[in-house]
Amino acid sequence: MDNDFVIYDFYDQMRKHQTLLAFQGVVSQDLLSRLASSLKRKSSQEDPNIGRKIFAIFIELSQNVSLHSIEKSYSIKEDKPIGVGYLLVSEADDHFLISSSNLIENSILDHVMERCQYINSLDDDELKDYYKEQRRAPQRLDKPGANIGLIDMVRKSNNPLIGEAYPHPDYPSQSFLTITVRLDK
Amino acid sequence: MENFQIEGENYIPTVNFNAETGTLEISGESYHEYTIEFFQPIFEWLNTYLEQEGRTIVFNFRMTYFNTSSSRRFLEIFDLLEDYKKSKNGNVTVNWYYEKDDVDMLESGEEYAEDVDLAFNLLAY
Repeated sequence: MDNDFVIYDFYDQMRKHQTLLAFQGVVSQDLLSRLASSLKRKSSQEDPNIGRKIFAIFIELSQNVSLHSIEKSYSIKEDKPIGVGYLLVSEADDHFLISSSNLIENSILDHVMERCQYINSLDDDELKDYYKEQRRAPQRLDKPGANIGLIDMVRKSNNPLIGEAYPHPDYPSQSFLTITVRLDK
Repeated sequence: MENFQIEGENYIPTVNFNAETGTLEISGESYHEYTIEFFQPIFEWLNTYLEQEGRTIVFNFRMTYFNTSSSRRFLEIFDLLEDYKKSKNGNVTVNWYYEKDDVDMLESGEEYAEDVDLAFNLLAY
């Protein structure tokens, strides 16, 4: 670690944003199960439905990172390369923010951003139709995901997706993509 | 034919398929990342079981959570059952259980019921 990495600043930012969970690294399936269950317990106390929704959104975001991050780490246990990324959950007085971040090729980034924009433009009935249509569409080749995670998160949260991208400081063909979902209490 | 069982844990659902009684049940949480691989033996068993015409099947879904990847696999199970009902004279009932305040789980059941031609009971517990 460089001397200029100030852990206290890191702590201070997390404290100010009432961070419930911050994770960087490989999320194996076992680890995801532990993190998600603990998050569900913490957030279910006032309203079990909120707990269920956070659990669902956190899992979808986390599995997006595992499947789509271009930064990979090989898991011996699962015998597969798994995507590396960041997961963050914070709480404010009237809402939670759940977000995932990972590195992505710029060629795919535009597609993801357009998809977020399109999903955000749909009303409840249109979201339902789009969800069903995409679930019926053939499985994409070499992609284990269902291609309906983003739609599902908007339907569960009733809020638009917040997509942000930052160019990678060293690799011009890559960006750091953050997807955030706001869940109102 | 042998019964089929999977003991649930973490992200893996409990599966109990009773070949004799025709009661097929899947319960708990399902969020394996690679559902195509995970569900493969389930589909193999179902395909063999559904070779014989005219069975009476009660399929119980008692899920507390499933990810979008599992959601696709469930739809494939319903398609299989619908096809069995139509082409092999099967008698199929689906019981979709949901915790009484779990609106999302109820909605999921309603949406499957809209998408396939099967007798669906939505049951709160």
